[in-house]
Amino acid sequence: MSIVSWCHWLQNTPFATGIRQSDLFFPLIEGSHIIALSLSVGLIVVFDLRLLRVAFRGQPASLIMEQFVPFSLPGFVIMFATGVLLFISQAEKVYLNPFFRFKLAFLVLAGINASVYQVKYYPKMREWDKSGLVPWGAKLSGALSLLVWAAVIALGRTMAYEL
Amino acid sequence: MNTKTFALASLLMAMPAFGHHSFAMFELTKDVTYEGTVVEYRWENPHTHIIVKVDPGAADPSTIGTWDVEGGATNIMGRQGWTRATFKAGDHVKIVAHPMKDGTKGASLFYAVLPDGKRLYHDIARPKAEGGAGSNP
Repeated sequence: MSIVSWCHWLQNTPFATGIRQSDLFFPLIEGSHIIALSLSVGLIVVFDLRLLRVAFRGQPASLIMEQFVPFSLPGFVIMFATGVLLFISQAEKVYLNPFFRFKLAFLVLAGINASVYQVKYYPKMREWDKSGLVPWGAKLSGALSLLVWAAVIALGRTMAYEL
Repeated sequence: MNTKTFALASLLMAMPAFGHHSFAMFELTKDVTYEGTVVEYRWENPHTHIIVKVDPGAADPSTIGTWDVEGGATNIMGRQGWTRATFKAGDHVKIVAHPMKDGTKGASLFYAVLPDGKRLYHDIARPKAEGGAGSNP
């Protein structure tokens, strides 16, 4: 069974068809997917801007991270869950959509970027916070995060034009 | 991707591309009447689709062929009186729609004319005489 035929089967399951044909659930899922963006990516952006010393310059980066980043997690969970449901409801078309594939690739990049930050810069945050300087690698991570998330959002919007 | 998958993908991509797009790809000032048989009525989100086959001998020869007429989301259409049972495959149908600019056999639904002459609109696209804004969606 190829991936396409599996997607074809998936979107024709009663569950997928139910979502696609629902006046209530489809808009709710789709709307939540978008609204959760403000919570997840919105707060990541706040932190990235602090790393780049554009916003909240008077506050330690570690404080901004502790205050804002935890709230982005529920946002991400909602985005992921609703994203999976949207995929299921139109699996075949979405799988064949080139913008969706690029979006996934950029999501992976966002994940790698965040992991590198967590491993390499997060443990020493309080130290470099005291000096008031942000290591260039952490700045780069912030800039990459902004670019990659912007790409994910743009690609997500573009893929929907083709559905 | 194997060859079969690729062929299927190419075929699907060659079909009219629809979605949460603007209406820029449709010739909104052009109202074309498609009269024929419903091949498939897809009552689903994000867009409802009516696949209509217009047989040779149609009043407007340019409409001969199979067309993918796209409507709104189910709740938008529902507010205009559409239901999942409005059409079924095999029904005779008369639809007025705005064709794609690029000539592919797709169109944006304007309204359908029911057997009793009543019109079902895509959205709030009623003519002024019926209390609407008089514009296309």
